[in-house]
Amino acid sequence: MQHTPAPTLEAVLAQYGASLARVARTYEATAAGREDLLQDVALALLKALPRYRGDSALGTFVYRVATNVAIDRLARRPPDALDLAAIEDRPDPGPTPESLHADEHRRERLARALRRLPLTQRQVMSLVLEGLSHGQIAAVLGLTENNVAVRANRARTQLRQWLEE
Amino acid sequence: MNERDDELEAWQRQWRDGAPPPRVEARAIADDRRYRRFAIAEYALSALLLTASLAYVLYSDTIVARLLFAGFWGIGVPTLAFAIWNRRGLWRATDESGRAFVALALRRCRRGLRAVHASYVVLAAVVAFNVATFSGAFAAMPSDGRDGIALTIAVAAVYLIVLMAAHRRVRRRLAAYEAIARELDA
Repeated sequence: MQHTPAPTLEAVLAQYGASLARVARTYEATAAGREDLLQDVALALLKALPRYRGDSALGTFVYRVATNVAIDRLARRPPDALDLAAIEDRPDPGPTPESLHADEHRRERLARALRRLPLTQRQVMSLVLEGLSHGQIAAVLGLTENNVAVRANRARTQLRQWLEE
Repeated sequence: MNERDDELEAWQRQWRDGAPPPRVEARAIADDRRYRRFAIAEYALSALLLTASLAYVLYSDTIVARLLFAGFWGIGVPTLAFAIWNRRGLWRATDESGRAFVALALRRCRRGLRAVHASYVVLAAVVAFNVATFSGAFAAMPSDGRDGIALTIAVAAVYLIVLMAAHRRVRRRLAAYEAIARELDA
């Protein structure tokens, strides 16, 4: 059986770097935190890419590594970082919307709303926004397509409500 | 196209028109090289220490050498064997699906907890062995081994603090992963 040659880190980041940076934004509120997360993702990709044999789409492989590294970082944080009920009331250390331009302001509002979502809804929604199908998201997260659809729906309802406030 | 699709498309447009990502590949490659060099140095140093200790034990016939030999086979080898056995099947699999990764992380935390518990036992065994040796229980060492006992207790106390911090860290991570697993299953 012939395997696909493993792509280089440079090639993967050229193709998915912007998308990974956006996904990082749903986990980390500050630019420094996002850069650290991206750095960790790049390091994990460097180690994982030699194992890539083309069994799944490269995108699925890359997003799996990214979401797993993000989860791992969450698990290493102080316990209240995972207290999902408390997230809504916690001040977000990101830039204040007033200090941003109109486009960036809207993007930051969306990012803040995404970060307020429960973890799995956030994971699903960040990948929906990247244009992945429910089937691809199911493969990344290890959920059923039905489950992804339910979580995406809940996330959209919640996001709509927060963005209209 | 319905209203909900329009809404999603609008969000996707807003979301994607961002600044270019920071360049992280050079730092990742440098970090990877540093980790590899560090790992090689660690293995080389361990091999050197092990070889030197074995050579000392085999080629000298002193009481200290015999005690080291007993400590090596009685505590060192079983500890190493346990560490290897305890890590079976815990390879790093960041390219697994999210659910599989969380399941693996949970196994890693539980094994980590077991390793910490085993370390308490090993620490107690080493302290008992050293105290017995320095207090002349084996009738082989000078009976006035108070300095040795004091040093053993001081080192053990520091190690115990480090071990308790590791215990707390592993328990916290286990609780965090259990919360994530519950959310995945919800």
